[in-house]
Amino acid sequence: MTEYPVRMEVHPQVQGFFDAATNTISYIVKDPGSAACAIVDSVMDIDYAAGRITYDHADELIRQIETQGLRLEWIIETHVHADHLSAAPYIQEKLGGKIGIGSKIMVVQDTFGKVFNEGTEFQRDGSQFDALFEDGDTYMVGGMTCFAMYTPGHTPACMVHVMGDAAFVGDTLFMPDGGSARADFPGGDAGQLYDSIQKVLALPDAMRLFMCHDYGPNGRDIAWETSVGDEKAHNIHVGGGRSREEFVKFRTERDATLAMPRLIIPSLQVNMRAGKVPTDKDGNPVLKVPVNGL
Amino acid sequence: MSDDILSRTSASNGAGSPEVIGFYDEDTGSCQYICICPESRKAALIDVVQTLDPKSFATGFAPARWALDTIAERGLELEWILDTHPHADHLMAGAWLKEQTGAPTGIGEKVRDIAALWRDYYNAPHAFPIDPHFDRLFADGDRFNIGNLEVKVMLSPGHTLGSVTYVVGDAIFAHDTLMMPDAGTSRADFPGGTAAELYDSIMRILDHPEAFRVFIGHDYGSDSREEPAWESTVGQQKRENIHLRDGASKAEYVARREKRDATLALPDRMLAALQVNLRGGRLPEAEEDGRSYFKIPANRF
Repeated sequence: MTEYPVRMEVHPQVQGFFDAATNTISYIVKDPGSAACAIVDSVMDIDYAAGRITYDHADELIRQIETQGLRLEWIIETHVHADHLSAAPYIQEKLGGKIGIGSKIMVVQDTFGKVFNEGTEFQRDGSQFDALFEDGDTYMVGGMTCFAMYTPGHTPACMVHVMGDAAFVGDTLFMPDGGSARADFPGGDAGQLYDSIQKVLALPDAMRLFMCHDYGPNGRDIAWETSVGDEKAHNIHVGGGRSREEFVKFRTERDATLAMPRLIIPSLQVNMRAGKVPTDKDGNPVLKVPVNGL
Repeated sequence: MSDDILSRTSASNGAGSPEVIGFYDEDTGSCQYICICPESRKAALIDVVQTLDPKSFATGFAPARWALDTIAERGLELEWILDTHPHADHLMAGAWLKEQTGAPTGIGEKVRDIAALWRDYYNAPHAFPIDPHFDRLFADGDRFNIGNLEVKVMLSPGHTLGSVTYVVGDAIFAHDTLMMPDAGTSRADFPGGTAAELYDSIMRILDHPEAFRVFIGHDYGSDSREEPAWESTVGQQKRENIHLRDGASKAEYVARREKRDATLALPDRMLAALQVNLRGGRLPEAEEDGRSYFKIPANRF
């Protein structure tokens, strides 16, 4: 087991920004000791039918960072999202900062490079990103030491990012009443997801957990913050000590009933390029959609 | 699957009048037709849908299979595979139907101009050659036969610049001009569409006798009507159509149409559909991996 540098005495300020179109929560995480901050999981808006890309959600993050006088150091992607497009390069262009993701992005790039029949100009070495994290790698946001935990299962490149007493769980856990993320995308694995969730639940009970998604199950208001203790006790998929075997069976059966996310094709194609929209030979932005390919 | 397809039969009104089987594609609200000559048992298919899941982009032919099964069960002979225009909201099944049956395909000749518009949107200057993809291109006023029934072709631009209406005896296949009287008329804001031309096209359709049957291209139900419907008459349309009944002038109609169109989202299959429909229902030519890909231009709409 990797030894993680957990620092529960560091309390970053965490602001969540909900994107209603994709039920994604983006975060601005501020170092308590300085004006440094990080963004976790930004969103670029798309009108898929029209192919129209806009930046209202990202502009709000940018405006907040500017009006609060913060300095953006990191733009973190917990994984290659399949349900929304990342705005990382747009934000980087405006505010700077380094774009980081798990090093297993290369596996995802290889898989989806084939799905989209990408040419050789599409590099499968993660070089579109500024930093590729391995399990246990640390990085600084101002004076705050942060680390990445390798948590595959939903995708092969998922990482949970821990900043002080706040962990950004990506698509591993949902809120206790939402359960867990699906594990049926290419390279996903329900058993691995269970093991990854156990790694998250092995963090201190008081660790704040911040979700990447919430769908407001059973009509409750949208929420995104819970704790390790709460998840352990109450999570409907893994709480109360549910066994790996039970979880895998349940997760696999459940996943078989789920439709593809509406934005899976543009999301993967853009996000595996760190959020850049591919272009045709004349430089026009264009998405490519495999027919009968998924 | 095909058992789930909603269909209704509109009987022939005697010599020169077709029997019309309408069938419905729920995913896109599209109304498709088998138009039958009762004497000769010859038939034409009009505006048949190729299905597309707008998330996974998987295609299918359930409605087209249903149509061919129905034709076989009824002992009909398919003479024509017709489309009224290159649809923006669904994929055509024309090429597949031709492969299965050998019947010729037809569409309005202005499909050439429509293709020119879309070549620009897709930045594909050499795409969509029309001749290899359609057997017959109809001009305004052309006549042809389905068995013993004479078909008159009317150019009906507005929704697209090259839509055609097929008038078969007392049956008008009005596609995306009129909708059901309680739903009004079709949108005119796609590339090449204009509300003023749509108004003129609708007036030409309504110039027919009041008893003529009008078969439309789309229905989504309405506030007062859950079940989809697709058949009305010229008389009903004149008296009851909510966009026309108050004697709105052309200028008023255009203003109202444009205002409403500005509020409508684009159909979620549009950017895929045109790439297939301007190829007569074929998928884009496969890449070297043997698979077809749609191109979705970003920020052109």
